[in-house]
Amino acid sequence: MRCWHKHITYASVITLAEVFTKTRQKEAEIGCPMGGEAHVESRRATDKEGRRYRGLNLLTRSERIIYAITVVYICCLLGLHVLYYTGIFSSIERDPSAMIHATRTTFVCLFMSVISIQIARQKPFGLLIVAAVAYSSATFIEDFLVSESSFFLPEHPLAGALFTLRPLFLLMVLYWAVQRRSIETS
Amino acid sequence: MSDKLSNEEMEALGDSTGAVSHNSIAYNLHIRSKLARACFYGFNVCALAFLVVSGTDVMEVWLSQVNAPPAEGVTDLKVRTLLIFVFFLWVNLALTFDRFYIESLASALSVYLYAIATRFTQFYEHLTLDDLWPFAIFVLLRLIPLALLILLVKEEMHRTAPDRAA
Repeated sequence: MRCWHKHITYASVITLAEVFTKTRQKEAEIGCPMGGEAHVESRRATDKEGRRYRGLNLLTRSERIIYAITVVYICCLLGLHVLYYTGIFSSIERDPSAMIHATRTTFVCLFMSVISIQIARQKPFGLLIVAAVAYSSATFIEDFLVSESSFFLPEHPLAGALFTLRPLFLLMVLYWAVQRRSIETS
Repeated sequence: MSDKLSNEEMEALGDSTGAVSHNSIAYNLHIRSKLARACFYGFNVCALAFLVVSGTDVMEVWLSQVNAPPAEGVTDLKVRTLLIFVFFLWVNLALTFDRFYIESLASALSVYLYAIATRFTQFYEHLTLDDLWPFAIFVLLRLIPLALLILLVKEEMHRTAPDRAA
């Protein structure tokens, strides 16, 4: 009978232990999607894993909430235009700045459509959100400084609510832009 | 992107010690392509020209020439000047420190597109055939900065493509 245990030296035991530890470390270093929200413990994503998650362009929970709120806001804005052009809300005289507001709403809808298409295609869209934020800020500054074109149909209660919520909406989209750019450029 | 510069490049930057600041407009222009540099200079010239011209009455005189509608519901020219100034400053600072440069260009592009669209919608129903020449010049003057901004964004996207792929 071969006495195989005699061949096991202290050095080989140490080597075996090192190999085992390295294997466990490698197993632990699995992907951490979207800025470490999914795992609490400090598990770093490998390069390959990071690329895969970045490529998938998954939305985080906060991004999904912001997206939903933005869609609701835009639907309300479109509703105001429908009310105006169908003549349902015709108690006030024709707004001279209606054309500018129509252009603005077209821009907002275009931005939202392109962002939605990019999300559906799983392509990067951080720069589009940055552009949308810049556009929203510019219109907000214009409205703040020019008193005669404050908002579309200011007498309507829905317009009042939208106007009040506008700074909040702007901040929300700004947060989305920062978060998305930090994810895409990480 | 390699941060090391050759002797000729350091001479071109006017620095013989080898300590080239990465937060300088000269360095950040130097590491970009010739086309990007030319577009950047062109963009600055256009912005400065607009800022200088908007301080005079040239724009108002021109607006009265093309049967522009009265100022009802039209955004104030001074607000536009302020926005142009803010974006001019942001793009230049972003390039100098090489931070948020592509973001500044994308923002400037979107706001500029919006400005052009609102101006066109303001005019199109009041235009007659007599306004063809002044309006063509107006369109050309507006399209030059737009083309420069698009080129700058494309060049920057092209430059940073390897970093995104890595």
